[in-house]
Amino acid sequence: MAKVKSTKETAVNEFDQEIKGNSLGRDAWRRLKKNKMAVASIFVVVIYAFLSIFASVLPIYSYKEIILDHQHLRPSLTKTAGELMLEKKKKDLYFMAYKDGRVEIPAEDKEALKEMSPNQIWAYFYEIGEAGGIELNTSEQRKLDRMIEDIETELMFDIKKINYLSDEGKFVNIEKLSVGQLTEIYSGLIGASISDIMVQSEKEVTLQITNQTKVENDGVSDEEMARIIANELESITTKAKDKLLIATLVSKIANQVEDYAEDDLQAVAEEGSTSFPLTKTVSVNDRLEAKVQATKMHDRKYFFGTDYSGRDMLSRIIYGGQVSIAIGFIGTITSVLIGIVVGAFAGYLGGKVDYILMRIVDVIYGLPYMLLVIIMMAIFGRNIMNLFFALAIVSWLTVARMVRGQIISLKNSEFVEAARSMGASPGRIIFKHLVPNSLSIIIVFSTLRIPAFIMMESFLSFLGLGVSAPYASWGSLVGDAVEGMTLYPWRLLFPALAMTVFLFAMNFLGDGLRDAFDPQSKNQL
Amino acid sequence: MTKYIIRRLLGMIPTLLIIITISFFIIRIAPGGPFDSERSLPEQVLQNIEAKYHLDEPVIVQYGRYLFDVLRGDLGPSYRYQDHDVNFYIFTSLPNSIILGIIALTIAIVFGISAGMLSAVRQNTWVDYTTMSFAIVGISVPLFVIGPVLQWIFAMNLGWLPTSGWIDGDYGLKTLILPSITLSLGYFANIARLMRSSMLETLRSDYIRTAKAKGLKNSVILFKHTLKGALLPVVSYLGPAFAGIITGSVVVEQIFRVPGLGKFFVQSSFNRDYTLIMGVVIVYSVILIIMNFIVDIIYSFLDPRISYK
Amino acid sequence: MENNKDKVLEVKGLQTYFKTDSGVVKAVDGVSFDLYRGETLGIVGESGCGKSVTNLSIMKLIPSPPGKIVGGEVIFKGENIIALPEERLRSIRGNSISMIFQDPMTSLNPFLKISTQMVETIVLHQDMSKSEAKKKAIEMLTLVGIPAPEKRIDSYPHQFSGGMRQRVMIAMALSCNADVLIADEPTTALDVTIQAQILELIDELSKKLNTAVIMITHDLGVVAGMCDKVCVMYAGRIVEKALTEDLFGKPFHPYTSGLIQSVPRLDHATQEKLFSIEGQPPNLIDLPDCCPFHPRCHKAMDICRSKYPKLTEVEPGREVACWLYMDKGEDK
Repeated sequence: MAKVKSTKETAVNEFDQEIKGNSLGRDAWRRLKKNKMAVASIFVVVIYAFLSIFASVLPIYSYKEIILDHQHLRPSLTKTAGELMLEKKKKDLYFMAYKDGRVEIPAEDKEALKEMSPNQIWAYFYEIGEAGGIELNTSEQRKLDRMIEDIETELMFDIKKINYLSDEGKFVNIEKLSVGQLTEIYSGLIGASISDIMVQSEKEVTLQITNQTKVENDGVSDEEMARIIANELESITTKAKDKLLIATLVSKIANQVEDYAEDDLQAVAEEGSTSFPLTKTVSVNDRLEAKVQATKMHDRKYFFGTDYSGRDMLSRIIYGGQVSIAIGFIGTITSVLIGIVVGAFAGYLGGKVDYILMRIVDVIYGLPYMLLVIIMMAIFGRNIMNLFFALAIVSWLTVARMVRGQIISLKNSEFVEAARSMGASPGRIIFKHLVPNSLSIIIVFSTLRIPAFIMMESFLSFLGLGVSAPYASWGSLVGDAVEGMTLYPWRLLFPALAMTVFLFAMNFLGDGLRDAFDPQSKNQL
Repeated sequence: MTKYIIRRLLGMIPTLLIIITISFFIIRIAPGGPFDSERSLPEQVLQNIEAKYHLDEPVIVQYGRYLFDVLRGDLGPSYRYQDHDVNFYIFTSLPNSIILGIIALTIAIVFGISAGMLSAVRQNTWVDYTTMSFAIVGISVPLFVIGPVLQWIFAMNLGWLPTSGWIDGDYGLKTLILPSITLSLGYFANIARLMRSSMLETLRSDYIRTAKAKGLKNSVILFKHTLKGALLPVVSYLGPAFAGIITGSVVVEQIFRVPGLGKFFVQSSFNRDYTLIMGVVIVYSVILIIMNFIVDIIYSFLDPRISYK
Repeated sequence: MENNKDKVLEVKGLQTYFKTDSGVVKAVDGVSFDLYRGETLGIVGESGCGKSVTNLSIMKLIPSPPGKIVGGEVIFKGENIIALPEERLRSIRGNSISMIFQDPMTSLNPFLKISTQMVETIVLHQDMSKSEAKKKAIEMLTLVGIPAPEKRIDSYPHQFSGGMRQRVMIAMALSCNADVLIADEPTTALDVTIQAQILELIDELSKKLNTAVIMITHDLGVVAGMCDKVCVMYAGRIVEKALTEDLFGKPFHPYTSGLIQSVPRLDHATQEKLFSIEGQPPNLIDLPDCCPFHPRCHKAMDICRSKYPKLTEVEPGREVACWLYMDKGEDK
């Protein structure tokens, strides 16, 4: 039992059940942890963020590598690209055989075929064909055999490093050599004269600069373009030019090395005893050697299938997500910052400033602003920066209104009076006292803004007005897939699913945060 | 009241002027003109074309001329299509867009409000959870994903509905189902969530406690005392919802090949068909402004505290 | 009291608990009192002591979840309200027992005309047509002192001032000749000048209509002016029950005397500083079995920390829950 203590002070504190003072943040976190959906969403968002940030070091194929042989392969966890290519080819051949009238099928199946989708029809004949029910003619069989052979033997080379035995007797990476040395090596390889090679390389570099400039200045008139290009060519420094020359020459040498390696390794591949991938040092001549990794081109597996130019859907979705998520986050931050500044000044200063700012917001609010964004994208060119600005310009309105409301309700509170009475400047009061006190609402709002931003970006990309090839975003992937979705549904479903899951998670997280910070207003928009 | 309406109508004019001005100048400062692909034309011909469309005049004169024409209801000739002027293209396609928009909006409002009410009344039951999960799907999945997926399921795999087309084609009214559902889903979801939360808030309010203390029946409390107040946030959401449906219709018309205004909008944006873009933007804006105006009037009818002064 | 037999309402051991994230809040824990026809009973206490919850429980208007009436009975005319089916309950609410609330600004539906809100109540409980009901409503508005009631009845609540709205609330509450009127801090949200008018109105009308009144308040002035009997509540329990003059004359419970002392009085000019009870009311979650007031009590003893003092009659008509007035050995 409690000890006898009758002084008042101790008595007041005797109940050990007083409510502990929790900070708003800790309290919100405690509530958030109870919300299972929100916690799961945090995990999903973290996974997505991880994939996006580390996309370039993940063991996935390049998102822009085009292998036309691998066009439209269906997703498969077990079958390699080669097996799928063969399957596709066979389906094609079996169906052709049926078209030519070389296949007999039961009458009721014939009726049923009319109701089937192309994929089902192919699958139907594939089944018959694989069971031995379809005889292929010699030319077809030959085609098939050639394909099988190609699948077995076609290699892809990844040249890791090319070393050159220098005059000092040491192997040096050729990227470190001078233009002169490289020209010499290259001339030794192909047997052309050094001066010819110099001229050719110069030409290529000029072309490279020209093309680069054209891409950067999309949409200007021809005369303007010519002027810009001339200017660009003139202003380039010798050092920069040498860098370009070296890069050009190195890639030329690499091409040659690849040819050597191919000659060298193709035979090994055909023999069939070596296992791939294989890393080997190839000696081109007595001074040049290269470390080459050879992989079988058709041994790849596409878990999410491929698109119309044989690019891996999995890596396109990951890189697409990188673009979408980045635009979502950066766009939201930008628009929220603009909104905070405008809203805070309007709310704090009040009067005419407030009136004018809020009328501007009202007018823009009344505009069909997505349409203006569409016009801007169509006219100023489709690149990520334009997209980003166009969206950020129109999305600060709601934040501005919200922050203004918060500031107005807070600015007459005692702690602000106190700050003011102690001579704090308006800027200090706004950004040290008022904004931090509205922060929880701003955070919640921003979380819910991100999916909306991603949706807007994807919306534009879907229309073909956003991110363009070779880059992708979830919206552009879905947009590209709509055309062939009967035949290649995976091209639609996977990006759609990836996007939906992320948007789900963000929405749940936003809802969870809102409930955690403000338990009174359950499920408000 | 009449005064208020007149004042609101007059208030629309500056908004409209701003829209026309912004879109006019965005288009004029853009690099590249509508006849860029015809650059190979002889200089003389190009000048003739530019003179025909008054493109050789100073921009400010062009602006004045355009404004004057618009006020007379003439949206000018199209730069791309020679057969008809912009008015023709807009007013042949507009009705289709309006039909689609109205159906979608009706679905969203009617089902959204009912679902929201049901959820609020049955708070924390499976009805509530199901409805709200469905609503969060509607909010999270963009309509350009919903559209193709619905097409894939209901048209391609099940074969119940046509993938695309319009009511004047072979499938008749069936063609309306998928596009209007696609367009309405997001707004249905938002309205349902909004309705639920405002309903719950109203149900917690003091005056509902008073109504309960008076011994009123639940149905009376719900429909007579709660509904009006709970509808207010939904009504204020209708303005943004209209804007969203207009924007969304651009995509939905694309997916389901609806011969509506949105199709022209996207095409003309790609073609740099200045007058057609402007025409479409002006028409969309006018619709939006009128809708916002109607929303305000509805709001003032619902809430007796709004004064018209 | 002279009309002792005419008991209209009897509350017995009422317990209302709220489930929250951090535990069960015992907002009302074993409250009992009787109410007789025509009398005015005051319930006083600090905010959060359970006075409002008690009265919402009487009407079974506790929002559930999180709240739940877990025990006790409310006997009204021989029926236990807590156990009644919803339909029967509705015929009592607003008819035999009606309520007026603290904030007249939010307690009237802002979207409906006054006439609509009054007429619907009358039509619901009395056998009247709409036009008759409207006449009755106008009559009631006249009674509560609304000027030009025929005109004002078709206004919306926002067109009335706070005091006027509270008058409308009273008119509405009494329009069905209720047996019991529960007034939950009816004057707290009003200007001081209006407060007196409203209290006077309630007093006058309840006398005229012979209605029993439960007056919930934290203002001892209101109690002194209006009530016949008083219950003092602390931490979900009644700590003292007495006739008004007895309570003010000689408060028993240390909490009661603290409350009375903390009222500023002009005739005690010698007092330099206003008296206040130190400390905070306890958190109602997992309250230990002890006197909940002991940490703030000057006269706290050992036993106060270990055992809760039951409400015991110490003088005729006078009950108090304090160890100071009880034989400690008896219970130990």
